[in-house]
Amino acid sequence: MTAESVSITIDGREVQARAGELLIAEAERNGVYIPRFCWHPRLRSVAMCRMCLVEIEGMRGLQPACYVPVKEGMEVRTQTDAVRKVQEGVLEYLLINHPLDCPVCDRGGECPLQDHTLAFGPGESRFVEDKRHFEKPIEVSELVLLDRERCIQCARCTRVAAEVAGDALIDFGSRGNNLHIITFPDEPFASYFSGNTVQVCPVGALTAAPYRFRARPWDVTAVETTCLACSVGCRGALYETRNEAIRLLGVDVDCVNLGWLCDKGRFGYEFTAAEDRLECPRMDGEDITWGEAIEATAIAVESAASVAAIGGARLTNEGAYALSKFMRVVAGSNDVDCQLDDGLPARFVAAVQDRATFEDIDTAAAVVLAAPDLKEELPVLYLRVRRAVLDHGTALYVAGGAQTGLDRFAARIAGRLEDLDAADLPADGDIVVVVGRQSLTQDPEHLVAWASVLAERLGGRVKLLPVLRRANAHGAIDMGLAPDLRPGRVGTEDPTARDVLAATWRGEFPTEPGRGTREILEAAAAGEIDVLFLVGADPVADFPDPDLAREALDRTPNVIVSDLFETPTTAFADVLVPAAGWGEINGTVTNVEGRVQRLAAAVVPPGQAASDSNFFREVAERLGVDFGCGTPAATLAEIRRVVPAYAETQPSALRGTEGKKGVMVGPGPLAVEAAGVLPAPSETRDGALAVRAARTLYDMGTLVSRCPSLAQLAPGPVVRVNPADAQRLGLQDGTEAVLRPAGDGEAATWAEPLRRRVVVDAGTHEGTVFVPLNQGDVPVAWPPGLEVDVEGAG
Amino acid sequence: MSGFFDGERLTAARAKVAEYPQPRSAILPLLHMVQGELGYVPRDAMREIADLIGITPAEVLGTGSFYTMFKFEKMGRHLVSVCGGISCMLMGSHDLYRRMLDHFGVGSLGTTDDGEFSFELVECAAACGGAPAVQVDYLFFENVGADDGVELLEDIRRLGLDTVYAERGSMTAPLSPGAEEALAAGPAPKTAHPRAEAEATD
Ligand code: SF4
Ligand code: SF4
Ligand code: FES
Ligand code: FES
Repeated sequence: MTAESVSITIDGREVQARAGELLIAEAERNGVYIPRFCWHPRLRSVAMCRMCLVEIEGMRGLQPACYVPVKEGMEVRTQTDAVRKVQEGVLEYLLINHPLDCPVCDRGGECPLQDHTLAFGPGESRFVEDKRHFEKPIEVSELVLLDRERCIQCARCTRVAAEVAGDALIDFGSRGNNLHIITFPDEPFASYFSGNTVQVCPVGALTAAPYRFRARPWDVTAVETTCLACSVGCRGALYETRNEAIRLLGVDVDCVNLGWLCDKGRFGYEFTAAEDRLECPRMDGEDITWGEAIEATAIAVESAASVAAIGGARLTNEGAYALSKFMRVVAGSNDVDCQLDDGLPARFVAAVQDRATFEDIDTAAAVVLAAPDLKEELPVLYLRVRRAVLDHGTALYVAGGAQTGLDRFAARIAGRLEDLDAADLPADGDIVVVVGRQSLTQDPEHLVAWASVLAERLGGRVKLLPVLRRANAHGAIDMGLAPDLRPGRVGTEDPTARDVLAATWRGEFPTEPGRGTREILEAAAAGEIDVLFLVGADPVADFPDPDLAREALDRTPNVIVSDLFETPTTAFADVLVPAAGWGEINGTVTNVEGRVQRLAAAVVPPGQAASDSNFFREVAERLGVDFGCGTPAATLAEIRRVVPAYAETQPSALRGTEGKKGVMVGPGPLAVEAAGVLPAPSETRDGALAVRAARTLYDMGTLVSRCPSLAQLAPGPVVRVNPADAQRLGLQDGTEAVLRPAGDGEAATWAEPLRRRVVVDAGTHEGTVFVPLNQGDVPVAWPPGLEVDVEGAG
Repeated sequence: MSGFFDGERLTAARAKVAEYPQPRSAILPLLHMVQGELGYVPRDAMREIADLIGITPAEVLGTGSFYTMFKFEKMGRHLVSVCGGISCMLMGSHDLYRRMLDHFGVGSLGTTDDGEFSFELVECAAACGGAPAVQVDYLFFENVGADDGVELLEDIRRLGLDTVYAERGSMTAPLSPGAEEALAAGPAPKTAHPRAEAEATD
């Protein structure tokens, strides 16, 4: 898409511009800043504020530069008396009712209205009458506050809500002098993307509740980093003041997040200041020194016949690499898994050769979502798919039972995967298939078998995007945190890769595939594991069979846990070490596309919390292994050496303007093997309902529950039921439902039925109930294919 | 509890939405349907309109509240609109308005306890020649002096709007064809008053 170039003249200087683009944008690209309030590069032009008026030769009157596309030969004047007079006029007019309470306004010091007034304003006010007053602030949602008298009526916030997020829950009410932002009474601005309105508001009318009155812009420092609340990896600027993280703003990168963040990402920094962070290593519940923790761990590993590790998806690439190397070289084990049997087979993820990028979604003819609800699990990716479907006319296909928030725009919704085949999809154009675990009860092997058959039938037109939700799960897999993989998306059996590794790793390391999380836990429950590392993993809460997890941890003599907080799992820890987390460590992470981006520390970790890399290196050194990996930079250098796909990740490539795009990881040597035929669909038992057990954006998980602003938004222990099912079962909104596994035999036996509050929800597909996980009640088992009987509680 | 749009109203509303290439163009016609019958647009009706069109209630309220003649609170039996435009203001309409409010013990935009009158101050009502102008249910009364307002309303309460309007009301705008006869035939039938059916429905 190289736009044709045209010559235009701005203030007497001839410059090149892209034909058809807006004058305001092209002027800026050529170094001429035309003031603006309502125009925003990611929103449609409305030309409402008139701040950008300029003279254009041959056009009558002044023209809004935010609405006029450039044309060959256009002559523009941005500095004439007429233009200046209008700019002064617009500003004077805006300031008539503006309270000028800059000293107590969050925006003061970084406010476009202040800056524009200084640069283009009249300098003096002629208005002596009373300004308008409103009750302040209004809570438009739990996260966003509104001071109506500061609003300059630019409609940026309403356009973000409606155009970008599809949540038109705020709008202009009244008109003229009384115009102000409203919500419908009793219907707050409960959008997952509400924080973006605060960021685009050109004044302090919208403020973020967690940030309001916390700092002044001149008292903060910022680092550019990557959000790790999910695997989209949005670019952000993390601000701190007095060693406290206080806000995350979106950084606009075309290929990743277009400047947007979801609210979970935006306010997810709050956990760094939580009171109950682990600050000191512990053994059997008693505080110990790091030296003692390292010693105890080393002794346990040294004498162990069998060592396994679960977790690592929240680590940086450097941390994951250190864990991977530690397990192979020091512990001599391939029993490692960064997933908790809640994602996809790692081998499949590693084997996808032509992985789709986010930008491929922009140009695809069709997008197939055989994935979890992106809005809940990968929110900013949802925004991009939404934009493609609504603005670019991309055809949307939904398969496999998860609702998508975009269902009403879908060309086709196939309840079961098997009901969507290559022949149903457009005959021309590229197709992006997003593949992800839709429910803990979904058989992941079945899902990837279907995806590989579909991919084979579509041939070269298809690009797969395997999605794992957890922070840096994709980076962790690239670093070999899977039982049958080594760093670089390479199988444990691959001899060439082994030779490359051997040159750096020295020592012996196993070539047979190891065990994954389920097998590790089964072995542990049978008393066959001596040392189990749990690195930011909480199997008691997150593994789909909590009883097995508890049994396993109970039977294992040495459970060594590294985490930020106490979790249901840490109660089983023999050694517990306090980890430093996001916002506190430097390094790189790899997003769902395979894009390596930089993670930057803004604050110092609390107490003695330290990075996981350090811990594993220290234990290795104590055992006499020359481990290397002394700093994140040294580790990344080693990764570049042993992982060909990461060869381009020099620090210089990740910095500066170009570095904002990150570095795309190349494919490994594996390839997806198609199963040949579509797996047979399963039949639902009479009257029973399929279950979708999956995450919601907010839950009572370890991190969200430590972010006070977000924890209050968790839906709580609910079950979502389609209205038709609710009617058939006699369930009413707000009443309690009792869920029991249907049938008998192989299905899970729950000790107690699950009791949940009913939410009747037209978005949930008929025949399926949606059970949000991690909502503060006791976790139950979610075996593949589980169906439930549901009845009212009374 | 069934909503506003059921039975025939629902059919009519669906037909209205289908008339437009953009369903949201039906916001105003549907608001008119509700206000025409109830005298105001209750919240639940806005939710129903949102559902019918496939938008959010905030958008319905946002669009509707641009027009000051849509009411979103239950109004009194009569809506008293005192003109606050320049001509009327100069002729003392603010004073007139204040005295009415004081007499009935309500604030601006308020409704009397007995539900008889709601008050509002409006922009130029296009009767400047007869300033100060007052409308009661959009029927004009002109040259209402500051001392006359309270008496006018007390008379309306006692004798009914139709009677008082027939005596003292005025028509300042040029009449549309056929209006002369209609006027001669006496005050418009009750249903023509937007607020008249409110009681019947509530
Ligand atoms: S609240 Fe802010 S973004 Fe929204 S219209 Fe007002 S000034 Fe613009
Ligand atoms: S979409 Fe994911 S990466 Fe982006 S802001 Fe939200 S949680 Fe963070
Ligand atoms: S920026 Fe052009 S009119 Fe507002
Ligand atoms: S100013 Fe009152 S009618 Fe015009």
